[in-house]
Amino acid sequence: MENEIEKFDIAVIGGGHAGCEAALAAARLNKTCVMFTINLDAVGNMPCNPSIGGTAKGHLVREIDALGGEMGKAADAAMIQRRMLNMGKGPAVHSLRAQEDRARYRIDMKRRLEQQQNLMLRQAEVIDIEKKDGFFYLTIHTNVVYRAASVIIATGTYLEGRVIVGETSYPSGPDGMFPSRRLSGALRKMGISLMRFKTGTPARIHRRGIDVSVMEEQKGDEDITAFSFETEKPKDNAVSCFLTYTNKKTHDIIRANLDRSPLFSGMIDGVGPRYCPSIEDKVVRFADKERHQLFIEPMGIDTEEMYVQGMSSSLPEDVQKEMLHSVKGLENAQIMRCAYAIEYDCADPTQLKASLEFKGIPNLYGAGQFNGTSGYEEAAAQGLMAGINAARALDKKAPVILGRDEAYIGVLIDDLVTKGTREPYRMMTSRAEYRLLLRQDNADARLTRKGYEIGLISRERYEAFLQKEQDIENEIRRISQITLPPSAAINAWLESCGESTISTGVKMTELLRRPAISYDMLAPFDSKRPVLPKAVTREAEVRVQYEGYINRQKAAVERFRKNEELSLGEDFDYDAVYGLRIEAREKLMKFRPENIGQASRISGVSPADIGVLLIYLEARRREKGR
Amino acid sequence: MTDTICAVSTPRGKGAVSIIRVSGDDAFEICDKLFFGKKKLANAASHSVHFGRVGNEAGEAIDECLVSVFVAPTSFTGENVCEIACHGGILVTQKVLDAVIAAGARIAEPGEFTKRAFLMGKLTLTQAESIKDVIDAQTSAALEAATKRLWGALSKPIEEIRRSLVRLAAAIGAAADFPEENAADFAHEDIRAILQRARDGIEKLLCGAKRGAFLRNGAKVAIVGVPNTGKSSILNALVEQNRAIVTAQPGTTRDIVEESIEIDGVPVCLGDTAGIRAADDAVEKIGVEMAREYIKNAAMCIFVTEAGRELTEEENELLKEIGDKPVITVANKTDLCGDERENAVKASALERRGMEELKSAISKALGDSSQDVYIANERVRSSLNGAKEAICRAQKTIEGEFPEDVAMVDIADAIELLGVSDGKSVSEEIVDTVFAEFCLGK
Repeated sequence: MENEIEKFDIAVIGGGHAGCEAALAAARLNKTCVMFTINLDAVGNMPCNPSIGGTAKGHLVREIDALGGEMGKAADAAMIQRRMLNMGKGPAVHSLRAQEDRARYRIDMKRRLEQQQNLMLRQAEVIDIEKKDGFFYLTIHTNVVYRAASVIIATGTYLEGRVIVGETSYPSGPDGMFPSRRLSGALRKMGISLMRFKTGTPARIHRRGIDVSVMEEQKGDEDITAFSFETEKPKDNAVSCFLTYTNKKTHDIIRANLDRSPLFSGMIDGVGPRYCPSIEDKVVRFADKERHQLFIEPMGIDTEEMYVQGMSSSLPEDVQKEMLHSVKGLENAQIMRCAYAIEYDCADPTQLKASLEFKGIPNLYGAGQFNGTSGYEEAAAQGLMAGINAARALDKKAPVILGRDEAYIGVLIDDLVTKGTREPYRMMTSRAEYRLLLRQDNADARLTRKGYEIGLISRERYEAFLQKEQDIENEIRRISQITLPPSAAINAWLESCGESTISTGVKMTELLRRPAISYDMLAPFDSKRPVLPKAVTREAEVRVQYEGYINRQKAAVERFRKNEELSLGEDFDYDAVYGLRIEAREKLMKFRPENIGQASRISGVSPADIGVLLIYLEARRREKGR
Repeated sequence: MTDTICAVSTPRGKGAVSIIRVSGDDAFEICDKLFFGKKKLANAASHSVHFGRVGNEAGEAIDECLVSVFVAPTSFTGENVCEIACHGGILVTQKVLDAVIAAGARIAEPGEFTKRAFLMGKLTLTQAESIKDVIDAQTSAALEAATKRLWGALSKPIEEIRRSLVRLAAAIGAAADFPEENAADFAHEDIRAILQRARDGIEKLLCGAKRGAFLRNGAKVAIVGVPNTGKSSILNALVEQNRAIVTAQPGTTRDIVEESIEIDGVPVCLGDTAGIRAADDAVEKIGVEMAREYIKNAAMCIFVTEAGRELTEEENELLKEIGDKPVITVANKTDLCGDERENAVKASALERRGMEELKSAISKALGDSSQDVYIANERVRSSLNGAKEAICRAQKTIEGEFPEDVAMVDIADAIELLGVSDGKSVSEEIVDTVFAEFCLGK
């Protein structure tokens, strides 16, 4: 019997954005890999909004790409509109967002997986996992058993999924898929504690019932970067989005029907995300707001379906219809898929190490919404890291753990595993302490070297990256050596920019540090300027313009790193540490932080507790040294 | 590389000598900035003692002192250590400590010297056991004292300022994280106003903390005035004994005559000074100089004038010299003449009248009005100063027309400095506030 079992190095459960990255990364690191999905036509599906990126999420996609992940490339290929958000703000929060052709993305991602060496796709529901003699045995719904050395769980919103629309509710995965109905029990048997989260999505409506002529058109931006550092020519914008608003009538309809909302009637137990509130939630919590904005976004090129961003709801379908019809331009809207809320099981992420491996269950990993997050990008980022670390563990290599100072991915995973989350976790720029260092424009500078060392970035790409870095450094050096003498021409120009004039020679870099002045604007005064790619000059510009701030953050990082480098180890005996407060001891034993820095971020652990730990560690080190 | 820390390592209060200990990689470089002796401390041999003067940044001499040099690793902490032994007055000690901080050292956490000593292997494990006890004690002490006793009345206003900055950071963060929802956009003007209010608030607290220090450490009060206004009589009347010589002769007082009394719990050191005038007599000249010096170091002045007459030009000059120190004007000799002034304490030293009013005025001037007085330790004051500087940097960013989110770098610093952190990070709190206060999300 044993011989007939199919054997893989790594099994990935789930084919969403986390599963796709995990499977690709593991296979590319030369591990045989099987990816299970309940429906092969839902691989890489976007069951919520048809877009990728956005604030902080765009950063994640750029980072995934710099490490050798797939999402950026796939998103570039299926892109139908792109915008750089926050252009009026500082470079830390510039964020790329793209509308995607959802069907094309899904098909394209599936082909990328199919074409990957070492990777097998399998349509199946995994109903049981058991660990025996160091291997995992996975039983699928047809009672066939697979064996894997490592397993990555990326079940998204499928696990015990239940869809709720008004007074109606039924077991279901997202987007009309079957749910996964037996795996939760198997996971509990392995000692994994599960939580119940909720999320929701708005209605999709037919284009012909929408009067865009009364809405505000939102076009894409030209001349902006693609997600992938390898995409040379991003696609042109092909569609527009449209902005309209709810009004008093809409809100009255919602208020009149609140008793029929499962959110307020107590039918939903799951915890929903604060940043993705349903429209009824918004109307109740912010009662004084007269209107809420709604974006109408196309679901793709080959479809008439449109997504109504801002109107996520779990009200009954008849109320949804009435609500939509009260909105300007949507008077004749026809619902193609109604809005719904979905509840699902997920793991408490504090059970995970920073490698995303379960503490106490070697070679079992969690990724994506299963770990309590929300969002395609957050999922993909974790999938990539879980795939990398599962593969490395089999090669007996140390896991790759990104710091809070290195990547949004690091912030995301550190937040999850040290603090846990009480709602689906969404990445935000506000969560990153060192956001001026973690810009979307320098994701390659931060992570390409790592990706190359891991083995997911080709030598060719790595060398191109090194060349780019060299070009940036050279250009910064060059302009820092140019002194501009005061002249009528330059002062006239400065005045026209509303800037103060100069009376002595000024370095070009000095002028560039004035926020109103850009690198391109200085061209007329820079006769020997070389022709360089925009990515190079833009990066040089940011590094010069924000040098003072960047240096301050770097100094803060240095202070932060000290504690990150003091390892506590998995089997650290907190009972042996004399002087820890009871609360701190309990928290530390529960979380098992990997280093002092992580310990210091656990709530309930005070600075004095950290002092006690530091002393103990040093004492132990000295004892060993003797 | 460790940063350099400092603290007063002798008990607080009056003693013959105070010792300020400085430890860390840059201990010598830092002390060389304020120590003026025969040779640079950085070039001194370990375990050597050096005589010299200590001065502040402005080059103003504070005291004469002996500095002991201990070169790493042969010191208490195992790091480079300077021990500055200065005269034991509270004011002098504080000034030397301030100068060390201004030169780049940071005030030590409680027990930090001991901790460093242990970490550098200067203490055995058995000794370390007792340090753990020390640190344990701090666990409750730091939590309780920091939030209650030390912070005391300060914690509420600090928390208010901190919350205003958290809300500001949340608004800026919300605008950045939800750019398409203009709900959270703050106008530059609002940001400026909030930052300025926070800065003013901190300045007020720092000011109150300074006054609070008088309550704890005592205050030096100079009795000043032009000759023959009855300063010595006022001193005698306040202390209720004939401490200073009183004659009808202008310029009787030459030396400073000091006497201590307690006013509403504040130890007040009253100093009777020579009447300020352009004196011809050599001895009186010295007395006038001493008076001037005394005024400089005093926390406040009692300015004594005569009832029933306008201030003379000399007196106005003197008031100008006193500057922005608190001053109480005493209209003395009401036994000879009435006085109509509103902002003066009417007194007759001769008849010992008006002394209660004067004492209560002194008490008030030293900040005994319970509203603005704070007891803050050095650490709190240095955090407040740090927060103030961070706010100034944020203001500069906004003034410089950088995008507002860039100022977050410094606003977050200020928030952190103003808060007692316990696991909860600044970013977490900002995110929570974003969702509590703004209607956002798709």
